[in-house]
Amino acid sequence: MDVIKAVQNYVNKMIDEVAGMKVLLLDTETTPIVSLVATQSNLLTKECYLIDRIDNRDRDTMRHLKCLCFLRPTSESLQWLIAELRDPCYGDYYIYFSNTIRKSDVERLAEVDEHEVVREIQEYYGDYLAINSDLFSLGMDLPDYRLFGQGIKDWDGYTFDRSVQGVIAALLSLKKKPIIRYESVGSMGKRLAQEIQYQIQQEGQLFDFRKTDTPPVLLILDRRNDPVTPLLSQWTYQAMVHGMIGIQNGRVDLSNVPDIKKELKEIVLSPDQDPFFKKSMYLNLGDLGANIKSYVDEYQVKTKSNMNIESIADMKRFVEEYPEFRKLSGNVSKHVALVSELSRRVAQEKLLEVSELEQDLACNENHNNDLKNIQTLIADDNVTEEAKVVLVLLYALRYEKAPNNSIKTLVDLLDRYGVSEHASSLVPAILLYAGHGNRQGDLFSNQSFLSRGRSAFKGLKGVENVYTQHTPHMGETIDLMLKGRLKDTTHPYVDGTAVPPTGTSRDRPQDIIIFFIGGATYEEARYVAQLNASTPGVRIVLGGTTVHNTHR
Amino acid sequence: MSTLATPSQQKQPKQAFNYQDYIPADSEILCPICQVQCTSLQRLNLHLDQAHNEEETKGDLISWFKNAQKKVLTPLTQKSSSSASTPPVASSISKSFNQILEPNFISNLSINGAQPMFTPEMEQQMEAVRRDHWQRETGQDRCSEPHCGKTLGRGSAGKQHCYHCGRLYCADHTRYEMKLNTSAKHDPGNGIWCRACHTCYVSRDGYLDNEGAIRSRTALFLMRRMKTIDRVHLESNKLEKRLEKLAKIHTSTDTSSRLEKPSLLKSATLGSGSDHLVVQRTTSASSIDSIGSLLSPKANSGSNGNRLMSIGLKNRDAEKTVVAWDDDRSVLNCPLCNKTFTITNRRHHCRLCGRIVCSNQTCSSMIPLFLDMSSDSVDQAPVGETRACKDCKRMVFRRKIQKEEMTKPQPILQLYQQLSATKVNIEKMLPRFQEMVMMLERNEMSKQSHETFKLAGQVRKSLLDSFATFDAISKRINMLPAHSSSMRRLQANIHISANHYLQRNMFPLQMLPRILNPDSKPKKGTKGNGKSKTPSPHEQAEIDDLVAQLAAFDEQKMLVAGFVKDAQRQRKFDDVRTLKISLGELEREIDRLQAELAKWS
Repeated sequence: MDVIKAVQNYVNKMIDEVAGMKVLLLDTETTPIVSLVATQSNLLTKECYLIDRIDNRDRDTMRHLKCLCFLRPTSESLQWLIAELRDPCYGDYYIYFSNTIRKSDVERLAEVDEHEVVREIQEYYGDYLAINSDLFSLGMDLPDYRLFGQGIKDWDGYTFDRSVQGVIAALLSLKKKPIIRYESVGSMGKRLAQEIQYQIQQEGQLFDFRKTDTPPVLLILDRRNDPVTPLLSQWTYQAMVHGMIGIQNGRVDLSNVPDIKKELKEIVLSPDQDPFFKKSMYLNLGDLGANIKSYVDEYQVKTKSNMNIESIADMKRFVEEYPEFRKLSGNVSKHVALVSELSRRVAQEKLLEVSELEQDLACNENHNNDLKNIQTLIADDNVTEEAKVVLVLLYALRYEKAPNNSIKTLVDLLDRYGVSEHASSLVPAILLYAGHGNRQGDLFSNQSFLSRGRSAFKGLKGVENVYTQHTPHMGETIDLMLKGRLKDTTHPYVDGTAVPPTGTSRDRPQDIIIFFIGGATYEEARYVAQLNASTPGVRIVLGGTTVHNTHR
Repeated sequence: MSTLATPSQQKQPKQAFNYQDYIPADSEILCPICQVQCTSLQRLNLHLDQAHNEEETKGDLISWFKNAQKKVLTPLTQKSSSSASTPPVASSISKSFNQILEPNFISNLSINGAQPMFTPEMEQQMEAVRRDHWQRETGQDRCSEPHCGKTLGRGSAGKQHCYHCGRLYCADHTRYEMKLNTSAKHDPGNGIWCRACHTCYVSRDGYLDNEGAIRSRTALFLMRRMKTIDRVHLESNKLEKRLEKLAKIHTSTDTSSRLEKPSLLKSATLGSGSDHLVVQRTTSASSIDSIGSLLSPKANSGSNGNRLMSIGLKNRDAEKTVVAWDDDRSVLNCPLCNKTFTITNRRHHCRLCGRIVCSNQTCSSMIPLFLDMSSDSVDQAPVGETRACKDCKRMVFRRKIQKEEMTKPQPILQLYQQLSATKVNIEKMLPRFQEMVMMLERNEMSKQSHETFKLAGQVRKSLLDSFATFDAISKRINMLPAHSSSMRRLQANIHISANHYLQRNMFPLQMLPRILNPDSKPKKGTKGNGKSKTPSPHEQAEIDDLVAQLAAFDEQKMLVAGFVKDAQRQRKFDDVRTLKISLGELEREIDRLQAELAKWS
């Protein structure tokens, strides 16, 4: 249950299977998939000397090379491949598709392969972006992919197909044939669940895996049920970097940072290749600071020992350790730059204050106080426009049903302080998307008397950290599921999964795959990672159509 | 439970109530844990208290109680039914009894009630899972989990057996559950939930498997391709035959025109005619080297138009006999690019298939004619040229181009093969050498014989040689003339990866002199004492040693110089300073060694 390893395994298998000088051809969508799990030098050592895109038709003919194609079976990629096979640049072709390919498409390819260059056609199901070992995304960000088709409760056709394919690929690569449950609110989850179930039945042979003690569970959640989590500012390393700067396919673009060094304009953050990042990606800013300090100290000790070279033995040691040392120095400067940028932004944009209020809004009910605080922060020039809108959004979500709410006044206030029309129009939009009527479950714990009591009790206990008191709504769902108490009414099974509910509902699921329609967050990823570490015998993988930050 | 009730009902048909019914027959009383026979319930109770007073048996005890209760209750319900003689009532009574026995009721009694998984039904079944492989308890047991080592049964540590491997663990390390069958083997289908340790839990088949599913579509593809290939072969055979015919036509008209020419034309035109011929010869001679270049557009760009026109007109009727030409009027657009034919965009017939196409370079072009298409020899001169559409062109030369590419040597390929061979060689030698070094290090200087030393030195030398060849080849690959940018990139990348490889694998080599150095000193001493009379071999050894050291330092110097360059490029001036210092040190050392060597010689 490790998505990075699963995709890595596919890539390695591809490269190892073919000996000799090779060229790797990718398409627009497989390029980030491969780049997240493999490095250039990694590919070089395995005799993969050239990497190119299949849609680049200006490639030179080199018949002595073997060609690996790793493509998504989209119609465009197939078109390019057909053009390539008609007029092949390389000697042999080994074609790997990242998902199931239709029989008719195989036939089409066979028609055009007049030069007899194709040696293999395989399906390797690495069809998603493996971000952490327990987090994957389908990389469908807003401007290019729309989630909704007609109306707010309906899928966009392409996004829907891609989601189905992505989840199917994830299941195949993890070798899981799950029972599927979905959040009953809205029709999107149900449609996705049914389609996945249909596909599994269609490809019966493919899903014929070894029997496990308990069937794995695929749980499909809808972002609209928890609109709060992606809005909150985060304080753990990976989530913070994504929230403030943005991580795109494992890369962070620092070119907007004032006086940054040239080689740090774009950096790579990968838990797979960077042990320091792996160790500290879930630490909050305070612990991270301590951690990075010791990292720098370690580096300085090494530098010192490298500086005083007195004997020939020292010399030899130096030469042997130098490449490792150089790697370390690059890594140290990278993380120092990143963390200092984060703390600069925190100070400049008064993020501590904003975050405290955000957490208050998310966790505690205190209308008048909250309203007053929001008004002062909106008036503050240092707070970014984005943060102001987020505060109002949170307010609107929490007090939507309160009789004396003043959403209207707050929106007016936003306008008065020069927040753009587009941004303030998000407030009614979010209520339309994820307002009370569209949610299920008690997000703010203020619906029933009992949960009010519970939240009051939680307040009495006190919290150790004001900035991290919010836990994602998903946590509660998983907890219930692990205890076998997740109700069929809120999270029904797909019809035709054909499991006697008596037999399975009591069994504690051991492998869970969660898929978020509308995108997961790094906060949830952290929650899942912690749960994986603390709960013996349970493995959870989180996935989403994308990974959110507050920009949305 | 009702199923259990029925057999006893049959066994004891309507009898009056008596005390015997409360107690099951003697033979049926077995201890649920160790299967010891007990004469009565009281004895069993006693036995349980004495032999099984462990905490962990409580679950079993409860399940046993349940069994016993069941047996006790069955006659009672049966009795009441017989007395009332109204079955529905009886069933309702038995139901109410059963309700008392519902899992909740029992689990409330249970100490393990906190764990929802351990419902009594399972406990009951667990008797079936064998336990004879369990580790014996000694009272001083420690948790079998590595790094745990808690003494079991004390404080909060708890004491549990893993049902799968049978070893003892503390409660924390048996919080896993897996399904086992009666012989304590993993059985996801029919097994029952049992406590297991982490090791057994993760070593279930396929649990840590990272290999995703794959599906090969090659078979389907190859099957379909056979048809395509058959069709293509047929087609290209047909076209090749046509091309040969066309070539024959061209040679015959060519020779006849050459024969006619002197008679028909004056000396001036004869001169120009032979001139044409010369021109044609040279172009063909220059383009013999590859059909690919013959087929490329520029090959026929210099073709002489008016001569071709005249011959073309003459050939025209003959060419029509090879394949039936399409009627000019039937075609209005070029079938390939869909352009309408006009006065400027003329119709052209493909001589191989007879259809009409435009003269656009992508739609039709002039192709060279060969008399023998099936011959293996590539270097025959074309006898003329004619027009063909792009589809026919591709088909007709398919085989020839393939053949040509097979025979054409590629310098980079040969070099790369050498490179791979060297690499294989190195990889064979390297582990051997590392083993030797390890052995030398382990044995210290005391047992070191001169032979192993020598041997290691030899292996090291041959390894160094291999590395040198490896380096040289990779440099040659890098130096090869590249005719395209991607070729350039390919060569550079091969060179880079070769360098990476060298950097990774050369370091172990430097370990030997380090071991040699401290060793050589005491050795020198003993040797000097023992063999003071024969200094010459000793001196020779010294010189060899020095030479080896010098070589090693030279290597290092090269490496460090490379680092300096790298660091400068990356503007890491701190590093550059450190590196420069070490570079200076190295140079000094090399100078010293050279001076010493000079002294010896």
